[in-house]
Amino acid sequence: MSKQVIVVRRDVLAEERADAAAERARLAGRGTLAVNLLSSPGAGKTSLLEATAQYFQSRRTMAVLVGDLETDRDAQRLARYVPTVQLTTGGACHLELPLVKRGLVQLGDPQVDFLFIENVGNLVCPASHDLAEHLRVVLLSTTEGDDKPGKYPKMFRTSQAMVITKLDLLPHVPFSSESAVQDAQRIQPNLDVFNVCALDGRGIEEWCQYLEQQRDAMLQKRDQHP
Amino acid sequence: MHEWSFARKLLQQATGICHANGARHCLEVRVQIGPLSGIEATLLESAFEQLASDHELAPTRLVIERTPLVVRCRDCAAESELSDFDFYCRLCGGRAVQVVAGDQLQLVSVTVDDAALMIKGTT
Repeated sequence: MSKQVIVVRRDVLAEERADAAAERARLAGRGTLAVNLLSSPGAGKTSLLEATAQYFQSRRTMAVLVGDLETDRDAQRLARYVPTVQLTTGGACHLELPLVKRGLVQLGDPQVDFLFIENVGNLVCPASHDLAEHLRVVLLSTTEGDDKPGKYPKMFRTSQAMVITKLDLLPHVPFSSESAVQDAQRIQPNLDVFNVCALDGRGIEEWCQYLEQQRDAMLQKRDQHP
Repeated sequence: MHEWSFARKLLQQATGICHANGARHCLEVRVQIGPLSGIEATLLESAFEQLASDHELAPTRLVIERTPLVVRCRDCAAESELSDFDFYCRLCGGRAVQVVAGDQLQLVSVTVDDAALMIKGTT
C-alpha cells in the first residue's frame, strides 16, 4: 500500500466565505444593508426588530428573515409590520448562507434599505458563519449577566456593535453596563455600543440612526469601489 | 452543536480532494483549530468518527492539531501570541490588532492510500 499526503492548507469555510462575499456585494448593489442579529435566546431580538420596524415605518423599507429551531411565532409578530419569512432550522443551532438565500427568494428578493437576519438564539455556533451581512450585531440583555462577553469571546470579537437590551430591568438585576462594555471592548476594541429598551422606546432612535449611518457608509464605499 | 456541520464539510472536502486525485480511500484527515475557531475538538472528533465510519472513503482517521491565537498590530506590525482573549499588541500595547491565526478550522492535509495519484497537492 502506498501512502500519499496531499497538502491542502485551506480554511474549511473558505468557499462559504467567498459565497457570502459575493452575496454581500449583490445586496450592496441593490442598496440593501444586511444586518445579522445575534444573541442568546430571549435577549430581545424580535422586540428590537418590532421597535425598529415601527421607527422606520414610512421612512425606510426593511424585510426580515427570522431563524428559529421550530415555530413561526417570531415571524407572526414581525409580519404585522414588515415582510418577514421564517427560517425553521429543525434543530440546527445556527443559520447558514444557503438557508438565508432561500429565505430571500421566498421574500421575493425585495429591494429594501435594510435586510435583518434574526439568527437562532445562541451565542456560540452562529459566530462562525458569514451570512453575507454588512453589519453583525450582538444583543446582550441586562437579565443575562454582564459576564457574557468574556464567556463567549468569538461572538463579541466578530461583532461590530453590541446592543444592551431590557434597560427597564436594570434597577432590578445585578448587571453592570460598565463592566459588560469594558469586557466586550477588551475583546473587540472597535465595538459600537447601544443601550435600548424596546418596550418604552429608549435608545431606539440612536440605534436606528446608527443603522442609517452604516447604510450610508456602505453605499459610499460601494460607489467608490464599484 | 455545530461540530456536526463542520465534520460534514470536512468529509465533503476530503472526498472532493480524493476524487480529484483519483484516490479511493482516505487514511487521514489532518486539521488545525485555534482558540477562536469556535470548535470543540472532542465534539468534532466524535462527529467526524460517526460520519466517516460508513463512508465510501473509510477508514479515515481525524487528526486535530491545536494552534495558538496570533494577532498582528496595525501600528507596529509586531505579531503577538495571545494566551487569553484580551486583544492588544503585546509589544506596543496598541489595541488595533488583526487576528492572523487561530480563528479557523484549517484543513491541513489529506492522506490517501492509492498508488494511482494523478496530481500532487491541490490548489
